[in-house]
Parts: sequence; structure tokens; C-alpha cells
Amino acid sequence: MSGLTVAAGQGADVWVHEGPRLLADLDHGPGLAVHRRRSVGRRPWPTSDPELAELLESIDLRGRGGAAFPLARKVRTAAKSRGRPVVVVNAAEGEPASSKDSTLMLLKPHLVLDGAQLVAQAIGADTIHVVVPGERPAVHQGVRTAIGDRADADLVPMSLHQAECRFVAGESSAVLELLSGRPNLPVTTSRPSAVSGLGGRPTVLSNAETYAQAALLARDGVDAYCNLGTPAEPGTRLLTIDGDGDRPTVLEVAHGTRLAPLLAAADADADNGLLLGGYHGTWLPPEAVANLTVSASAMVDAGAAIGRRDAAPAVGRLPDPTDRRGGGVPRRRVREPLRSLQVRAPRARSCGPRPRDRRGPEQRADHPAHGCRGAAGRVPPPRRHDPLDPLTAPRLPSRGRGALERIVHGRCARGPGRCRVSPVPPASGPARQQLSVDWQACDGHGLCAEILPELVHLDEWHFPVVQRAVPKDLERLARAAVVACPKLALKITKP
Amino acid sequence: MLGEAVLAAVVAEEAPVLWYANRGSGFVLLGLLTITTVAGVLAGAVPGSREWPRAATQAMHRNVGLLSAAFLAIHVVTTVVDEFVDVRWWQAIVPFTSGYERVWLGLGVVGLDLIGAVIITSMLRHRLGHRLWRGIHVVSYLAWALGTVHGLAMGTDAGTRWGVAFAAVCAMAVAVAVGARLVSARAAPPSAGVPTANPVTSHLGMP
Repeated sequence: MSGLTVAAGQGADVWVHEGPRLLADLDHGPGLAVHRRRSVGRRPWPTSDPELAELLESIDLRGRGGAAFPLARKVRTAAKSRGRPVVVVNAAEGEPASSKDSTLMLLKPHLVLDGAQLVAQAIGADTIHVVVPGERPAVHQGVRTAIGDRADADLVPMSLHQAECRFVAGESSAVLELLSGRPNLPVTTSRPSAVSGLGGRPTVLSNAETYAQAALLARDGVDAYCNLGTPAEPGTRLLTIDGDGDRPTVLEVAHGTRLAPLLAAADADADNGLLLGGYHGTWLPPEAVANLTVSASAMVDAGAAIGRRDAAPAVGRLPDPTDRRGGGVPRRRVREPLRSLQVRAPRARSCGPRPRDRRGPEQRADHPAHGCRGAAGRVPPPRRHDPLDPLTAPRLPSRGRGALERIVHGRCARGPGRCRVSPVPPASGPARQQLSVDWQACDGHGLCAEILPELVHLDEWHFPVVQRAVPKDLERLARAAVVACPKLALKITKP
Repeated sequence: MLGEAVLAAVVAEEAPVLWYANRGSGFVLLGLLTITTVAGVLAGAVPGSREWPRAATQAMHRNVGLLSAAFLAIHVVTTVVDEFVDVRWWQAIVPFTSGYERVWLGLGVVGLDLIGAVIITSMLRHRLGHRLWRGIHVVSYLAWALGTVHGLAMGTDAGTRWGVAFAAVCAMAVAVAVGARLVSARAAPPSAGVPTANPVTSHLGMP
């Protein structure tokens, strides 16, 4: 594999390895002429929505943004819903750990745009909106050039939009909000966007890579597409791997490829575990990584929540959960951009430098919440108690908050063999508060353990076993637990 | 627009806005106090589950209780301010001093005073002994009952079929909750809840 550096934006360079399809033939650049030469002799595109849906279903092409939703179903739904459909290409990853869509937009914009045209023409859409990340101006520039170059040949006009520099800016409902002229934040929607999306019109919104895969499928045909990958999951997939190097690696691999050698190639090892799926992802223990292959089913088997919205983000048996406080922070992460949870709460502003080693006080300095290195290159100062900062987050009043908190505080279904491990190590520093139980008063109601499972668990008689020191990020919850105690038996004291 | 219209009507006394607010808040209050009571009763009775932990019931009890206090304030203030019936401010605090519906209004005033005591002791809970707090807190049952009787006896809408039906539903809800608590207290000690991880309480605005 040959390497190539792509300056995706300020402070956001990535290594790109040439791949078999999407990332093939990188030497000739992203130009339209080269792209057209590659597409010579391509098959005719499917021209109707049933035809396209059938094609997509034949390989079960699923969204590559994280939810793994079948694209064919979106196409069918949008085509039969009321109103003129719209197509949205979502290249705003938002996820600080993922760079694959930006990379794709920089290197093969026309493949993505082809895919969007293909879908738009099949379902009769009148507009294609392309949304690129705000924190990577190079991507915006590249895509603008690409759209301008091909404007006269395209049947469906395209318009380009820039998402804000924010973690959740790439979430699908946030993207639709942006396109509607409202703040680029996720909202709760009652109907799927394929039924009623942008301006109430049926909207096919998918990740940039999904459209590129659709374009490849239409260009090469099913048989050629299935040459790579596994029978259940044909084709390839883009990955972002963040290892020890100074920049993440983006590569394209066929489904079914073993992950371990890829990690090695990207200068990453999983000796301390692996975070799969970025910020909302799942920690995998080293032994689960050893034989893991790149495929949705294998990752589900390994306990990672890939493409399941409802999946709890925790896995069992990291070597020692307490290690995260000491030296053993598991810090290799593969950013398979499969966001396991569709968080609908605004969260960390997260462009700028990616989080790396998050131990000790320096963790605050390189935390992604610390601002977006935008075009001006200024880093806004961190806000205290930023409601969007997962480390200091006061509780956010929305449906997504539960999911978010479960991750941040490791709140997950606990059962035998599972441990409470958060992908984000708790804020460090000496504890300022201690919890104590007045045993005369305690009646074992157990509300403290409900509210503060991080520090309190109940013994077999339902009496609390309390970890005394309260980490800073749990102080609010500790107060809530103290207030909730029906017997006023739980107290906060100074050490 | 609407606010201005309402204000104009109030100033000109063209429409008995305050009177309607009084009647309406009374009805809402019955519902809210019932929810508060039921949640409070059940907080100690039902075991928590993952979907609805006991801390959630407790938070609901507190927050709906707070909302009830707001409506109670509206109810009392509109009674005093409105001139449709002549109730002076001290008559709204000292029971059985009112010239209008002395007994039934008096019951409501007793309920108000009891609820006031419950609110104050709950706010000072961390300074009081558990027993004292609890002793005062159980008068909420009485306050709820007095309030209900007050509403049924002198409420302008109490004679309507839907008014009676609403009160009956509220009474039934409290009765069922109390029954459930008595049964569960007999069956198992109150502490036999199932400990669970809890994503729900946080939604309910814990302080």
C-alpha cells in the first residue's frame, strides 16, 4: 500500500493508504477529466426508483455513517412519499475521530457526486445538497471546485453547505436543521426524513461514502462489486485508524479483512484495548481485537455496537477498569465511523486536534471540546461547565442525553461479566469531596445506587457500598444522590 | 396581543378573568396534588425497574409537588384579588374566618396551611430529624382530602358531571396507590428494591 498525506484542513492531516476501489488510483488527482476517463464504458444508470432499490438491495448496501440503514429502503420510501424528493450528501463527519469522509471528498469527490446524481435522478429529486465539515476548509474548497466543474453535465443541480465546527453537526437531523436555516443542532424528529425531511419533503440523506459505494455499484455492476468482501457483506469500507503516529490513517479495506494487521500498518496496537466507533464507540478488550475482522457481524459478535442504535456502548472485561485512572488508559482507537448511537444532544465542539492520550491534567488541554481550529486558526477558550463538554456536562434535557451519559459515565446495562467502563476517562485530579453513609439512618432504599452507579453499588442486602472519593465530574450527581436519599443517610464531606 | 387583551379585560373588569383563573387553577390543582400524592405514596412502595427507577418516582413527586405549590399560589391569590366573592387576605390564611362559605372555604384554608407546613419542613429537611419531617409530611394525605372536599363542596363546577368524574378518578387513584403501598409494606420491607443502573432520573430534573 502506498501512502499519501492529505491536508484535510488545519491540524487535520491524515495518512491515506491506497485502496482497491474508492481509494484506488490516487496519483491522478481528484479531477473530473480523470474521473470521466475511469468511468468510460460504464453501465447505464438505473433510471427508476424500483430499479435502483433493487440494485442496492442486491448487495444490501447500508449507510456508512454509523446507523447502517439500508439505502434501498430510504430510496423506496422517499420515492413513494408525498412531495418532490431531495437528496442530501452528508460529508460532515462531526466525529472528531473520523476523517474518512473528508478524505473521500478530497480525493474522489466525483465518485460521491455521481452517486448522489444517480440516486437523485432515480427518485426524481430536484436538488442535491452537499454538506461538508466546517472545520476542514480544504474539503469545502475541493468540493466547490468539483461541483463547478461538472455543473453543465449534471441533470440535478447541486448546492454546497458547510456544517458548523461541532461534534454533532454531522448528525442527520442536525444537517437538515442546517439546510433549513436553523442552528446546526440535532433535533428530535417524529418521522423519518425519507418520509418528511427537508421542508417536509421526502429526503434521502446518507453519508458520503454510501453514495460513492452506490456509484461504484452502478458503474461496475453487482458481480464486479462482489469480487471483494464477504458473501454477506460484499465490497469495501473506509476506516479511520488513530494510532501512535501524529496523524490518523484512512484506508479502504474489503469486508472480512482481519483488523490486527491494519492496526499494525497504521502504527496502532490494541495491547490496552481498542475503541471502536469513535467517541460513541465501544471499547474492545485486546483478546477480542486479535481475531476481529472488518465486518458488521463480526463486530457485533465481539460485543461492539456496530450499526445498532439501541446497543449499549459497553463491553465486558477490559483488563482492569481502574487502570484508566492510573497508567493503563487504553488509548488505541480505531475510528470505524460507525456511530453506534444516534445522539440527539448537542455535544463537544470537537474540531481541532483530536484527543490523544487523555491522562492527567494535560487531558484538558487537548480535549476536543477545546475548540475548533477554524480558518482563522484561533482556538476559542474552553467554557467552564460547557453543557456540550462530555467531561463536565451538566445533564442535558433531551432523549439523547441518556445515551450520551451512559457513554460518558459508563451507564450501561450491567450484568454479570460486564463492567462499567467509559470510553472517556473521568476527569482527574484529587477529589474534593467524599461520600459517607450514616449507617444509623440508612434503610437501604437504594436510590443512591440508581443515581450514582459509578460510586455506589448495593450489596446483597441492598445496602450501599460506597466509594468514598468523588471524582470532580461526578460531583453534581453525588449531590443529586444525597438529595434523593429518603433517609438523608448519604452525606458529602470534605476529605 | 392576547396578553394585552387579557390585561385590558382585567383592568376594565369586562371579563371575570380572575374568577375563571381561580376556578381553573382549582381543578388543575386537584389533578396535580393527586399526582404528587400518588407519586409520593408509590415512591416507597413499588420496586424500581431499569426503565422507571424509584429515584424517578421520587423526582416526579418533588417536581410535580413544586408545580402544585405554584398553582396553589395562583389559586389563593386569585381568590383574594378577585372581587366576585369577598375573601380578604387573612381569611385565605386563617381557617374559618371567611364570611363566604365559612366551612368549605375553611377546609381549603386548612389544606393550604398544611401544605405550607409540608413544603417548609421539606425544604428544611436536612435540619430536621427524619421523624419530625415524616410526622409532618404524612399530613399531606389530610391536606389532599381536605382540598378535594373543599373543591367538591363549593367548586362552581363541582356539580357538573365531568367535575364529579374527575374528582372520583383522583380519589380512586390515591386509594389504589395507598392500597398498593399497604400491601407491599406487608409483603416485604421497603428496602427490597432492585438496584439498577439508571438513565431515567437524570431526565427528570434532579436538583
